[in-house]
Amino acid sequence: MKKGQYIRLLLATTTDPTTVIAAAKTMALHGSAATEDSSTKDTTGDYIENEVTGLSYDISGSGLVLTTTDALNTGAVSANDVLNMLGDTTLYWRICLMEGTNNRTIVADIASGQAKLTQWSAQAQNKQNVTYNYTLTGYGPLVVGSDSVSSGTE
Amino acid sequence: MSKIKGQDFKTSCALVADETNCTVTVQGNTEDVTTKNDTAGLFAKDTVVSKQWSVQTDTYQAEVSQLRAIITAFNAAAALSVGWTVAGSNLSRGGQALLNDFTMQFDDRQTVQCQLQFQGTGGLS
Repeated sequence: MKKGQYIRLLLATTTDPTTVIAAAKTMALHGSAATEDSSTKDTTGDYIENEVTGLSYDISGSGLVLTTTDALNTGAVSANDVLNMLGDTTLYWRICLMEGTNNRTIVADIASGQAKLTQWSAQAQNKQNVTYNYTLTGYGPLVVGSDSVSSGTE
Repeated sequence: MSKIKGQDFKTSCALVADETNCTVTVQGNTEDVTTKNDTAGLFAKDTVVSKQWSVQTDTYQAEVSQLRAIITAFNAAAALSVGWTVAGSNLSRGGQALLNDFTMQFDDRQTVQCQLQFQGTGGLS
C-alpha cells in the first residue's frame, strides 16, 4: 500500500509548479458533483434518475510552521508563502507521485489545475508544533495527469 | 447460524479496488398524504413516491493509474455500472450510478485512502 508522504501538492502562482509545500503533514483532494433529479413521467419504475449539473473540487491540507531560516523552506512553499497566496490570485497546482531526498523529485503527475486559496488557519497549542491548515477552491477544470511529466525538483 | 461478514459484501465497480468498507443505501422517498378527511389524529400517512440508492466505499487504492481513473470518471460525469455482491446471499444488486463525490486522502505516514460515493440513476436489479 502506498503511503501519503509520496503524493504531494506542488503550488505556485505561475504555470507548471515545481515547488512542494514545505513540511506538509496532510493533503486531500475532494471532488463533488451537483446532481439533479431528471426523472419524468416517461421514466419507467419508481427509481429516480439523476444527472450531473455541475462539478467542483477543493484541496485541503496541513503542514508544520518552520522557522524562516529552516533549510526545508528553500525551494519550497512555506507557511508564510501559503498565507500570502490567500485571495483572488489564480494559483497553479499539481498533485504528483514523488521520490528522492525529502520526497521532492517528481515521478508522475496525478492531477493538476488552477485554484484560489480561500482559507488559512494556524493552531498553536502549548508544547506542540505549530501547524497550519489551508483550503484551495478549484477554479476551472480538474486535469488528469499524463505520463509526460514536466520534471520539477525541489 | 451462518452470518455474512463484511469481507463477503463488496462494491462492484471498475473504479473500486482494495476496498476496506462500504455502505449501500436504498431509500424510499415519502410524502405525507393525510387530508382533512383523515381520522388518524395527528399521525402522518407516509407513502413512498419514489426510490433512490447510493453506494459509498472506502479503499486503499493508490496507484497513479487508479487515481487518474477516478478523476477521469468524475470529469466525465457519466453513469457507470455500480453494484454490490454478497457472497453466500441473494442480496447482490447493481445498476447505473454517477460518481458524485470523492476524496483522496494523502497523509504523511498513512496509507493513501480514497472514499468514493456513487448516486444511483435509475433502478437496481
